[in-house]
Amino acid sequence: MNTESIAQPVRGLQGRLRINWSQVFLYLFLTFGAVISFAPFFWMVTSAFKTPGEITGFPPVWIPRAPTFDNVVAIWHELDFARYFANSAFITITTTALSLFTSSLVGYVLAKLDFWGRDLLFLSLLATMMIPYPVTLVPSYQLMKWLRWINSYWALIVPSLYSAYGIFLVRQYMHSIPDELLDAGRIDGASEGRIFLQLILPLCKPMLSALGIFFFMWQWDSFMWPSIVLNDQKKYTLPVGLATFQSEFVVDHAKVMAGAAISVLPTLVVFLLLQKHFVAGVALTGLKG
Amino acid sequence: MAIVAERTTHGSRAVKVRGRRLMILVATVPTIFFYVVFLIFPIIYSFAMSFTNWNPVSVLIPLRFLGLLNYTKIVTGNLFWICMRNTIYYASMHIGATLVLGLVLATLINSLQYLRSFYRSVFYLPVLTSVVAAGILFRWIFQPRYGLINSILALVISTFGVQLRLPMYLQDPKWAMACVAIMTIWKGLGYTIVLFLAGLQGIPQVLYEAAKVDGASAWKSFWYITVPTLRPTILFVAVTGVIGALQSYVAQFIMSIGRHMDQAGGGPVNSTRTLVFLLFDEAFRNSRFGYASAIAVLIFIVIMSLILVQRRALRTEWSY
Repeated sequence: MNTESIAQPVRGLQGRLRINWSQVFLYLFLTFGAVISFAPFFWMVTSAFKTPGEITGFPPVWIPRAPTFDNVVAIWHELDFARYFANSAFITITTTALSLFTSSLVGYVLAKLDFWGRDLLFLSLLATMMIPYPVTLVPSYQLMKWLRWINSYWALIVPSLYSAYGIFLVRQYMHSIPDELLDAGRIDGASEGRIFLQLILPLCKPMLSALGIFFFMWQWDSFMWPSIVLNDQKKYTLPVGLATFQSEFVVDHAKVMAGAAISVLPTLVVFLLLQKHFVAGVALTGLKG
Repeated sequence: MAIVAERTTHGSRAVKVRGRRLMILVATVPTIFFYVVFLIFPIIYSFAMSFTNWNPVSVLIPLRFLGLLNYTKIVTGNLFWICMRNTIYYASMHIGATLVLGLVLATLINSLQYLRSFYRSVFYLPVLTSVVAAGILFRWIFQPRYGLINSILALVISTFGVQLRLPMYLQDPKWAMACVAIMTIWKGLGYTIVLFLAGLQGIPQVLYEAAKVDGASAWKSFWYITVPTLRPTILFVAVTGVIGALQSYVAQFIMSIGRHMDQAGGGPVNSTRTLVFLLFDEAFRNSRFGYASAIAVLIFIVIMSLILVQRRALRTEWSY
């Protein structure tokens, strides 16, 4: 893939072929780095299809000779992998959708509507972002106990309904939408609710896609809180299930790798679908730091 | 909802709007309720209880006020300081490597003529793996006997005939935390690269061209143009990175737990035990909620004072 561009000559003024050596060196160096960065990922994916002989084989087997689906089938059938996967999918989709909605609603109102205490509310929300999560761990658990939400998905969904981070990003983004546009809608007789749903939300699509990737990844990867509030194995989410896997199958690395590889798939798909908005989203988070 | 005539935000003219008050109420009241119930109240409650022997399991033990006893026990004990040292050790490895590698790789990728997004995507791929998946992957890679790294090293040894004692990685207290850091650096680097690339795109190309005309080397333009203009991004990465690293737990946990989940991790010999690890074990293994709350308060103080120090540093950076 890279050889093409390296070999591609740069034409000089007289039309002679010249090779830009600093570019060649750059490509070589970055390819070396990229290979190192890619190797563990590659190792995880191919290990999932290795036979027991290949997995501990020496010298290391990079590509299995006859890829086997035994490991994937095994974790799917012998274990509750499908259940963990479905649990995680349910929680992740629910919380991502809900928190995207609340973030855009609150972000919009904080940016575009004027009311008493608005700035105070915004500053307080900002301040909550500074609170380190370990501080909330013990009291949140106690609260879940009082609410009788231990071992229930309410404990996972409700506490992630609102995201100060999401509200903050939406509010920043709203500044790029001109007030005149909203006024035009108002003059046409649209209610505030309609303006929000039919005018604002469609305009926010790029930024909501970027935010959606973040929410999705946070929830899909979330390990600590689910491992605290869930104690029925049937309710485990994928990361919690995976963590128990590796202790049960401490010898069977191929199966563990199969589980890990499959757990990456949904994030990969979401990322590829929304990728074009992603860089803009990251830029937004970085600039406002 | 009644028709309410109010001024719009920018106050240029009054437009009749329907449902404005309802909209504001729907957006703000549940938000305030949410943050009071799920954040502010619990934190105050936990702070108050950090002065007691709060224990959620044994109802038989009556709740007693202990004053500062929890705090003095923690601070005079050994384990807290071991965890503190481990956490700082981990944080400095993680932040140092992420900043330097991220900045260098982003600058290099940015100066490519072709395939920029290809390289960005390759480095971003590890970000998509979850901490748990990455943790178990690197456990396998660092496995001393069959793991990838030692297999490759063994191959090198047998080919070149060099004498080398292979490290035990996660089983060696000297290496374990560094191995965890290698995993999180691998996983986090792509995000930092994307952040820096976004920042680099904002630097006008004219600056580099002018520097070139003046005869500046690539190194000099990196040091005198790239680094100063990227300072806000660098500070952002440093601040969020330090705060994140000080709260690190899952990576250490996944890479150190034993055969069974109920077997506490943090080993070997407490070498991967972080501050949050300590908090977690006191709270959810030993059910000493009061004691754990006191640890939480101390973690809070450590992180907050660091934020304040960095804020001050940030302000002086900008005042010249």
